[in-house]
Amino acid sequence: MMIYHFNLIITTMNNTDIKIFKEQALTNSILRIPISFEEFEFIDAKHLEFKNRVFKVSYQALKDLSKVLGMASNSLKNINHKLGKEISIAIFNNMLKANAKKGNSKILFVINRKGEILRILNEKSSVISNEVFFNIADRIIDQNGLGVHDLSVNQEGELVIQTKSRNSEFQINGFKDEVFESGLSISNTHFGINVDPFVHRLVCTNGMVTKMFDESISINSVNQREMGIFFDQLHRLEMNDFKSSGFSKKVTEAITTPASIDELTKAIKLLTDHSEITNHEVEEFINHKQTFRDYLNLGVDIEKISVAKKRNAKSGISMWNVINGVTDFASHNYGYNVNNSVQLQIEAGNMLCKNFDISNTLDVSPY
Amino acid sequence: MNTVKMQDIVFSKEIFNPMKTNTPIDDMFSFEGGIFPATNYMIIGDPGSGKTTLGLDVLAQVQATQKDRKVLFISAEMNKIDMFGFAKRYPKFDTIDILFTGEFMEENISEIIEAELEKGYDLVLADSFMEIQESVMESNSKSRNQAEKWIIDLMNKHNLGGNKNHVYTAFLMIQQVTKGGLFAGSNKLKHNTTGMCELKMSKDFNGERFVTFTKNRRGSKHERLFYSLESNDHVIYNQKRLDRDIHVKKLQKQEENTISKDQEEFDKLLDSLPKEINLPNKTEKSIIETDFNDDLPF
Repeated sequence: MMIYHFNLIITTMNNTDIKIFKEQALTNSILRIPISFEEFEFIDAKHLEFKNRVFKVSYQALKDLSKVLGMASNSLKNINHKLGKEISIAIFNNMLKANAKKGNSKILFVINRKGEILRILNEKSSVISNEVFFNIADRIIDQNGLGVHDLSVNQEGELVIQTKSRNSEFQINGFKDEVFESGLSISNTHFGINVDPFVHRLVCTNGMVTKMFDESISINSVNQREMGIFFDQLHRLEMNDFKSSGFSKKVTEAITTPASIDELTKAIKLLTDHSEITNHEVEEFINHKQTFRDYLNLGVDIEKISVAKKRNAKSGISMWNVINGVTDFASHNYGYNVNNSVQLQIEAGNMLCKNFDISNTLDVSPY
Repeated sequence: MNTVKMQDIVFSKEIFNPMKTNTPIDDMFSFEGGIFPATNYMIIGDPGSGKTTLGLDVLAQVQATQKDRKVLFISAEMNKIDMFGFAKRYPKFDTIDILFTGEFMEENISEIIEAELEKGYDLVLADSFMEIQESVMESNSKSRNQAEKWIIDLMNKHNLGGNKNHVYTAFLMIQQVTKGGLFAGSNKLKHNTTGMCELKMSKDFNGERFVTFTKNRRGSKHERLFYSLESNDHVIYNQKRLDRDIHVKKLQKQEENTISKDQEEFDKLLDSLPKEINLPNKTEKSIIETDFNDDLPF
């Protein structure tokens, strides 16, 4: 898995900005409260009662709990559809009680400072505090002489620190206009701390970040063994100046491969699903309209053809440009209220990592 | 019985001047770094864990770092031929004074050891406590307890500078472990030690060797200093890994604190939350309100 991240201006943040960000992140840190199944009860789909108080529950938390209870993702909807809201909630609460009677282990409420339950996770899924996260991140940054150039926090309180290695410019053979810098992306999610190598793209004042799945490091517990493995893996990354092996090859392929219609439409949908941007406005980031027009001129409405055909139809834009468009959008506040930029970056990274549709087609045919 | 007040006791400054090896193990022996005079450490570990090599490396390093320090190795296990081969591999062991007790089996071992220690050594490594104990039992017709008492008394005497040059001798005593890996000595011996230095093969880290102190009156306990004996010159300690492990311990402590702090913050937050469902406040847009859509599961 890769993550791409674009920045309009690559700078190193000053210490005051970093300090302010840290203070805010610590003040607004989510709270982790382990509780038993018998301690709470749902009032409706948006609220539960715990310690004689009413807590708002996020949709994601509800989905989390369904998963913890071992329910299929759509089973609640099916029950609701057939039996109605009240019975659905009663069944759900009975399931909680049944789990409590079985003596099942505790779960973890991830709560924000407004008292809203953002996630309901298995107690063993470790949520590491921001204090410890900053401690680890500072150590990595200091030991490797990295510069911090971006700090961000999403609505669920997950943090991302993006750093770059000083004097680490490199190029890809055959593409003299593409210049990159390597660095690390260090993030604290509800499922642990992740450290990923990434690459800044220094063209047109854009920067790009990528992380490869096989080089990504994560920890979800602060124990000696896990931390030992974590730091050993980090050391191996240091030895390679944090460069993703295989990055150059993949970028070369992305530059020379046209995106399929399916890849193009999926990228557009990514942007519209994760923000308030319209299809029309997406053109600013991914030039898709000309492709749509060109196919219409041939009498093909590409929005109506099958997915299989979309995968085999070339667009007029390279995979590289599609991915750049998504990551640029993901990493900056262009005023479209991106709801989870980290997730969007991950989705965009997946686009580069996968086998491109058009790579699987033959350009020639004997018939 | 006479009691004492610590304020009335005067010790030589020399007793608070640690012997340095200038290697990472200094920080394991004491917070100040190094082995303090008049202290006694047991070195225990499985066969092959490197007790003798590590102990001799400490002696050689102290001798090399502080020329005025006198060190002695009492070898009750290895003879001269064994030691010759050993010193070929670790040339810096060549210059250490060694007393091979095996050469005096027909003589009075306790007298020979007493006479040697009388010269006044700063640091003595004995390999091993049990072997010396058995030699003394055989040579001096003492019981096991009597032989142990003799060794402990001898250590105490020299700890207090009871030798010709009034040197406050420190002892590193190698001791065997039971099949279960436990210290094979009496409680009396255990209580007489400043620290228990254990050499272990890690189960978690591919059998790598590490030093840890399970008891230490002068320094920290349970830190793990990984080391390697692969070098043909000396013991290689992994300082970076030790620092890392200490850092991880601090992180664990910090994490424990934040978890209890979360609970405190949560208790405060409880008071501000409603007891009944409030009607949605249209002006305040929370993640919950924006997150939900019409596609509710129920």
